[in-house]
Amino acid sequence: MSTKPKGLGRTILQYIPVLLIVALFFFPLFWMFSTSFKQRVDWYAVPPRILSFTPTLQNYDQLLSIAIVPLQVLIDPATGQPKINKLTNEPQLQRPSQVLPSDEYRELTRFNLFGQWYLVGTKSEFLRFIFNSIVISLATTVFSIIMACLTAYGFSRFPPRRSDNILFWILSLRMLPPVAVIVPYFFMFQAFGMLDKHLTLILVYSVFNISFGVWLLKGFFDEISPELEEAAMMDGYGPWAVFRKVALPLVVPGIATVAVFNIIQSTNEFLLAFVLTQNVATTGPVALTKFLPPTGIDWGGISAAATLLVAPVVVFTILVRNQLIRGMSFGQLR
Amino acid sequence: MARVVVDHLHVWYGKTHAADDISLTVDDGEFCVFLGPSGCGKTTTLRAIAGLIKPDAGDILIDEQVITKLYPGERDIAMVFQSYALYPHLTVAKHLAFPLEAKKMDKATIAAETQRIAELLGLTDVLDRLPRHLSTGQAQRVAIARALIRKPRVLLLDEPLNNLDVRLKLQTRAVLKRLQRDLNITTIYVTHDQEEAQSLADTIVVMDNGRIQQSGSPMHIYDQPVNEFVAGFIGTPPMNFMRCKVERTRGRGTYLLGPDGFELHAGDALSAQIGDLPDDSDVTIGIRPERIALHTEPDESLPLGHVHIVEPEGNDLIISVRVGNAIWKVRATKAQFGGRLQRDIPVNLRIDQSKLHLFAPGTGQRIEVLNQVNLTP
Repeated sequence: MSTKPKGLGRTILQYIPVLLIVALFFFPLFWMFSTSFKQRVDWYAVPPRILSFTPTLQNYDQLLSIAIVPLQVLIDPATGQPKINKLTNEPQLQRPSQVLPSDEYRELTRFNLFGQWYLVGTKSEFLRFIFNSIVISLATTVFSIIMACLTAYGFSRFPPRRSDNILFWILSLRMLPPVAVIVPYFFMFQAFGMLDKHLTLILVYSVFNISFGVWLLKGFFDEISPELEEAAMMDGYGPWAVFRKVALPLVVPGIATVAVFNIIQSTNEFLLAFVLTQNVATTGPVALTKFLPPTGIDWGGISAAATLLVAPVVVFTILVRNQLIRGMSFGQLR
Repeated sequence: MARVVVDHLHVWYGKTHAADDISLTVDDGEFCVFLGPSGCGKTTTLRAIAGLIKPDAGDILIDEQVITKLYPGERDIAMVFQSYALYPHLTVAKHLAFPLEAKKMDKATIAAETQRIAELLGLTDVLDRLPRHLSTGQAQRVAIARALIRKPRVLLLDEPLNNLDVRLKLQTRAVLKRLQRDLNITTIYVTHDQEEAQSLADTIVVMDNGRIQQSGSPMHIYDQPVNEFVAGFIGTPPMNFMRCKVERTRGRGTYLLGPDGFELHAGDALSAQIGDLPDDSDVTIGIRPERIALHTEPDESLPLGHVHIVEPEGNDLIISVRVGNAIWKVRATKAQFGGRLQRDIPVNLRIDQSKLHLFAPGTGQRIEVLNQVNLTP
């Protein structure tokens, strides 16, 4: 095949609309990213300072500073033995305020390593919420991919009677707006004592993501020629091995796509997390609202926090991008 | 060492009787070819033997052991698929190792066996490649190698040469036959190509409408087709047919009269074959293209035809002749007619009556067979 060499001018012309569209969608992200490096004076500057500001890491410092300090067991001067807390029957430890670097730090958690107690202090609790987000996203993704793969394979290879209807029912779970189910969910989980638990959000997110995964992956499994699986059967493999060694490796692009969608959805989700958690299992998006105090919005902090929240998703998407492009074209194997 | 027996096999696809009372035996080391048009039940029977579909009735036995209920992987049967069914994510080496890994063989043995079979089929240079980087011929050989590596009792091939171009087809055909002889492996091969069947088979099983029409050696099937279907299916160009009536005129002997003035005077052999069929009874005559000789000199005693079209084929000419209301194909050598056959010139047909086949219209059964059946009580 021979193509005429395109003029440089023409190439540039072709890219202009693309650039415009990308710029349109990318600008909010860029604004968030740049604000996260701005000082308070630059947040509201008129005209806006796109690049001409003095960058600072202060916003990230607020969020990310961690102090891990060892705690001494208090010794009773009278007996020379460790003081024991009468209620919990545990040794009494130093007070955090005595060991943390400054007043800005508050205790996040403490842990025991080889008999020595350590205190973890941060300036903001946000790290814990990001950690919650990551745990819930990953668990949701792993769980719903396993369920979706098995379900989709079943529907693709051994369709039950009226499988179309059942598949539509599965899809319809996805059509429900979360608002419609939020009140029943709240009372349900309250009744089971499951409010403010990681598991609760993992289950709720999985309901949405499994249905999406089943539909997408079924398309991928349908693409696999039955002869491939028959060949594996003839080669001496049982049904489970056929699934694992032949079908599953061929739908990896689909799995990557489902994973990215899952992670985006469960990292992004606000409403359900807002209602179903209070503090222990609160996720990043909900925690962002804590930057909206009555005294005025901390735009630097909120931007830095949002950037930190988006970062893992971006990194993951970049890692699987090759698979993703194949996945987006819906199962064109080869 | 394996003898395959299929015993009264029935397979239904919904309301379609895909395999209708199939019984056959493939002896140890035999190369058996299932031949028939698409939808005739040949692939269905093959897949039932492989265990990929469950028969509705009947049994399949290998060496007297009933394997009907066994899972495909437990039957020790290998299969080469029409699409080759190569795994897109595995290299050639991994393809070859795949069946051995299922048997939990140790790594050293697998490596040695892979090397051995790769050398046998000329795949040593492509062991690291993925299927999408193979030529069709190579993909074909990988499929065969994967089937043969674990030394199965029976080898099944489902139209394996379909996707190859003509040259490669002939080449692979020879390789396949050689391999089968060397390994002496019981082989069942499915094809719709009767030439392929004749060149490969020890036994051909001709199937149509889910039933076995005839089975036997390629020669036997070619020379003694049991019915009109088999006769018409085997041979290129196919056998010529004409619906005729038997007429006996006193003194002048027996005639077969066709439409539009076709008239064939039966010699002794043919008269004997017609036997005691009553006057005026219908009969379909069949004659192979190479059993007709064309003559341009006028001869009243021979049936007359007109040249329709002439197609050269290598050293031969395939001549279409309008005979009665039909067009017959006649095979002649180029030496006999240089460029002398123009369109529409009249020719006489000298039919080798000892090679003429008679079929009963309606049932399509071979007449002498019918007579024999009629004679037995």
